[in-house]
Amino acid sequence: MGTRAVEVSALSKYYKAAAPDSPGLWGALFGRRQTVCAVDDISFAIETGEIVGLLGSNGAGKTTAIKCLTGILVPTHGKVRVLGFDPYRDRYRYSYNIGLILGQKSQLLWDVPVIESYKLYRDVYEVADSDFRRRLGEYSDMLDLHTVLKTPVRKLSLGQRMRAEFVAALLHNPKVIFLDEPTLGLDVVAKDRIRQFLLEVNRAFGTTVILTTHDMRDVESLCRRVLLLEAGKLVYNGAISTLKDLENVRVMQVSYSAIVDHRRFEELSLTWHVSSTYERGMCLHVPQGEIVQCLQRAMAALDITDVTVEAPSLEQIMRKILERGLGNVPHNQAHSPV
Amino acid sequence: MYPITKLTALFRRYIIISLRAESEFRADFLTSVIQLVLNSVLVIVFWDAIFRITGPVNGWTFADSVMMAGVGELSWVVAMLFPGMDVLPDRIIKGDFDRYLTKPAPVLLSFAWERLSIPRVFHSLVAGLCVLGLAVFQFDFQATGMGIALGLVLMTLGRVSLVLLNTSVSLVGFWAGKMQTVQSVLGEFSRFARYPVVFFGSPMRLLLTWVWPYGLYLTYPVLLARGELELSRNLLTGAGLLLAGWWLVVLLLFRAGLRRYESFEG
Repeated sequence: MGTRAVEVSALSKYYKAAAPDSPGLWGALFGRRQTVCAVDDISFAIETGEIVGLLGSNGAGKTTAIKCLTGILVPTHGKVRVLGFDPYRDRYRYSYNIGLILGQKSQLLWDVPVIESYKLYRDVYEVADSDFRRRLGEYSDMLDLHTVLKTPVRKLSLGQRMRAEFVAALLHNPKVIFLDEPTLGLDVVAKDRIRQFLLEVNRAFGTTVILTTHDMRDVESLCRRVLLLEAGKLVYNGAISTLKDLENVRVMQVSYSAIVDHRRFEELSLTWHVSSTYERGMCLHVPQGEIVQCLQRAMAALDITDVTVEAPSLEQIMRKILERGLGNVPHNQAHSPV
Repeated sequence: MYPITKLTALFRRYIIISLRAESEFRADFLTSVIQLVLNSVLVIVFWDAIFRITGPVNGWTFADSVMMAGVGELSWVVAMLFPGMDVLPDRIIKGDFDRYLTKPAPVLLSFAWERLSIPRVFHSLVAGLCVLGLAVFQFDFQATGMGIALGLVLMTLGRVSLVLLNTSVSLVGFWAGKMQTVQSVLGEFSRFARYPVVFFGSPMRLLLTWVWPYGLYLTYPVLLARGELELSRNLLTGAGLLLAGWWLVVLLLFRAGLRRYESFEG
């Protein structure tokens, strides 16, 4: 810890695209082309050994940012340094130090057994034979891959393929791993296995991990810090705990013995919000300072059988943020330094 | 520049991968063998029919045409070492370069070698040598050892130039997107590959030698093999320059193209 693995300064990436006001054949041939901003003037830094989540809705610019960091895309403006390299200009030397997993694009050769892809990457990254065998053995153990090494990639299930992708991306022991939706479409068990694997690699080698995902359980189990992108702009850079604190509410689950009209209870306070109800219970979002008051009123009004109070999950918070924005975040918190 | 030892190791690895992949699809390999045999037979039958009517044209005989068919088959050995350039624009649009751009290996070579089919290369080699043997032993083509060697060098330079030309056109896909129409229009010129350039007048002969190098890798190697060696120095120098020129064009287009690469999908 302590040294910076990634430094991004005023990074922007623009694309050219056909303007929507130029439809039809004429528009296709001679229509105006507009500049679309995918990433807009973002700056951040990531420490060596950190696991950071890059979050945002679809089209927010997460994947574009990752691709600028890996050297796939050339930034339109701004500066990117990863491990001291300019990813685009120093591509050859830089790529020895990184691993990339794109959930929607395979790195493996489709028609040949998995092991052939690994041997290819051994030669590409010039990994010593002993290191190759040791890492392949260890990672195959951790991800339970031994049985599929001789199976062609096209015959693997999605879960098996994603686990195989992880090994391919890590065989050369990269210092930084970029993961773009690595658990997309996986079942709960496969996701959990991959999360454990990543934590183990991070712990054992101090590998820096940068992750984009829509699965907040990935983020909660792996990251302590998140970067939140919205329409290409960085709107939050800080700890998950701080992000949760911004949402100054608690989720109260109340169960009771008789069927009641829930609206009656909600009318007791303007600040409590009944988010869902069921036959003999309801879920309330209550400001943190009003928990006791809310509980007292609930106990007075209803025959309570059970109560739980907990902080909202990151998923609930993200849903709210993506729906209504981050308007209440103080400026220095939204762009806080590392 | 990439270390030659690394390139050799990668090429060897892709050969193994190709063999493994082909063993997965044996039926496809067998049909491709039949197609290649049929192709050579049809060319010989065609020229036999023509020369029975015309006799030699501009000093070009039936044996020369059989020899040219053999050279053409052999030139596929060279072309098939760099396959996939025709699908490059489609892959650029789909953002399939991502995996190559993040690896310490040459991007275009990795893209090509991943599509390598060693059994087909081997088959073209065997078919080409058989047809050459047929020209020499069956149809009495008069060849010299030095002539054949220089002819093979010229064929290699010319065929690689054609590969680079096609690659240059494909790389325009970074800007233009889909290139199938342009590729198929340019592909029409490949019809000229069936005929020796000695059949044509000077301007066409120049065009088919130094722009679309069909003459360079098909007709002139036959003339060199026949022993007309006074041609060799100018031709080899010209072919070397042509190759270097197209290589430079590919390099510049590729470097500029990567700045335009948009890496769609995923």
